[in-house]
Amino acid sequence: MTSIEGTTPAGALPYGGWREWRVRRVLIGFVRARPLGAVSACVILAMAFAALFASVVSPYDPNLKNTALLLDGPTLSHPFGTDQLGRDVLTRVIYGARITLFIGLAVTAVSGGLGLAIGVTSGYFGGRVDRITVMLLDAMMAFPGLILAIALVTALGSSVLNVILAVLVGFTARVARLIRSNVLSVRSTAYVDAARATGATNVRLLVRHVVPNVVPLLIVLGSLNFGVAMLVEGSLSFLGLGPPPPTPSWGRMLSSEGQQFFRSAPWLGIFPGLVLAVAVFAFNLLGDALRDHLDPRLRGS
Amino acid sequence: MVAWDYIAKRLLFAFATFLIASSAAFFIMSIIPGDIAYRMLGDFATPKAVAELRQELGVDQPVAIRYVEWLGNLLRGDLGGSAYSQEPIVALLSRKLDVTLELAFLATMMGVVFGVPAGMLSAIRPGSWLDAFLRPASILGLAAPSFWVGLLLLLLPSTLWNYAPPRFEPLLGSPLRNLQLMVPASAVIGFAFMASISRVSRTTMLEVVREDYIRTAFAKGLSERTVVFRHALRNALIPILTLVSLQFAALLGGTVIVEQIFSLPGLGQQAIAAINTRDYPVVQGFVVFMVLVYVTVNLVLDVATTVLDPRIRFA
Repeated sequence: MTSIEGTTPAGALPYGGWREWRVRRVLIGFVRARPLGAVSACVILAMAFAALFASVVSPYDPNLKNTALLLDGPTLSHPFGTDQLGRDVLTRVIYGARITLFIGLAVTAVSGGLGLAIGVTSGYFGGRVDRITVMLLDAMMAFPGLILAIALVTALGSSVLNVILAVLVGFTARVARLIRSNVLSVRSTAYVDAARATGATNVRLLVRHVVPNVVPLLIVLGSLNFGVAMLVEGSLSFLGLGPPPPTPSWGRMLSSEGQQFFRSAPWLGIFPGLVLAVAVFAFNLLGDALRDHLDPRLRGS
Repeated sequence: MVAWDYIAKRLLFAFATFLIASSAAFFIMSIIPGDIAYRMLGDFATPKAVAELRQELGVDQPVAIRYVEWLGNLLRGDLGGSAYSQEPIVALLSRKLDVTLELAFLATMMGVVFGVPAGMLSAIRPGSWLDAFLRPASILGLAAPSFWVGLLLLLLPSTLWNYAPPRFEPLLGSPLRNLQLMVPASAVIGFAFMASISRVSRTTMLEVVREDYIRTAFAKGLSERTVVFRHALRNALIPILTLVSLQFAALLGGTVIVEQIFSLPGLGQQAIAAINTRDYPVVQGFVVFMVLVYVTVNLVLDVATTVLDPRIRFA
């Protein structure tokens, strides 16, 4: 970024100025260096688009029952086949993306924000607060994630909000713990010492130096967590603890309500899981690519 | 030399973690909105029945009193009784423990036995076909939902060859029939475990083989096999052990799913059944039990790590 001024004539810039140009440059750099990551990002964007505009994109109504076509195999008009009530599986998979992606997004965003706040405060200020925080975070992490989520959903009841809450608790603890250790190493770098020596306040040090340097880790964690959150939501739905019907959900499509038909209609069991696997795979690949791209020190870890 | 001080400290810490986490389990179950007795009995319950059940469950007492009582019982190894059969929860869960332990054991073995060598080999020969295959395969192993892999594992043989694994039999009753079902079931968890273990093995091995002492060992004229097994693997094992202890949580969650798919009478199936019948004391006992298993496994692996690597004790 230091050589931008020297390499480009100012007249060649689009109207947005330096900032927009820099964003574009970073994007192009990422696509060139990590094509696999870029493809993953496209897959994710395509899924998000389909989920957002499900009513436009999907060929049928998700709850339309075509009794003439019960358990019909994949055909041109029904690429993923139909289910035991004659509903189009592709349409239900597209609508199922909504709830899974939404829960993944909510969990990632909130656990990222909370984790950043807790991790930075605990790591930067240290002392007794830090020790107590770490102890509590470790205790929260002593809960096997899915089992904590099962307990919470059992207690709270299975609405979308409660599923998000249930998955969120364990994720926040993990993000906070990792951000904290990252902050510890950033805090002891020479540039933070130098900034402090110039008389920078704590707030300035945090905002200008500490937080920007943990953001790469946060982005990478976010991408990986997004995938894992979708898996946890899928598992909960599979166990019958996810968001209640009639919301179509990938996990529930694979749960006991469809299982009895899988032998005669394998497409019911294959497609929802395949789409979830592809989505999580894309998030993992993107997370790996972002990690390699944003922070060479983390490469391969 | 064994650092007893360190082990004592870890023991204390594990105990504290268990206390905090199981207390959390207690409070989670006591925040159930509305009246737990109503939820258990349904809408048509008579007020008298509700009052009786409330008294039986002890929920007519304030939370603080119930907590102290519950904690006292917990420390004496008493998790209370099932809300329906009155059977002590410890006995109920112990009966189901063997299936879940067998699953967890087989899955861990698969992960370690296949994951460590795969990661090692691809690190020793970077760029080989194994290395090229392993990276996407391990990400795929982490991405594929276990409930889906499990379903496919049941579905494909049954549609292709009309093969279905036998019904569950206890390991001690008929070992062969038991393994015919338990091996594919644990492979579902083992697959994901293998993926993460091979990834970490590869990374640590790549770091270790760059170390000076490895070059020295080669310079001394030692064979590659000696260097890899005696020098490199020993040092790469520590991060792998740490990962195993971290991943054990995911593994315990995985057993719940797999028991459901393969109809295995284990802890997870018991818990899901308890959730469906609203037997909340059993659900609570299950969570505490899982936390105990997890904390214990972590403690043991932690101590094992310090025995392997004296540097950690002083870090």
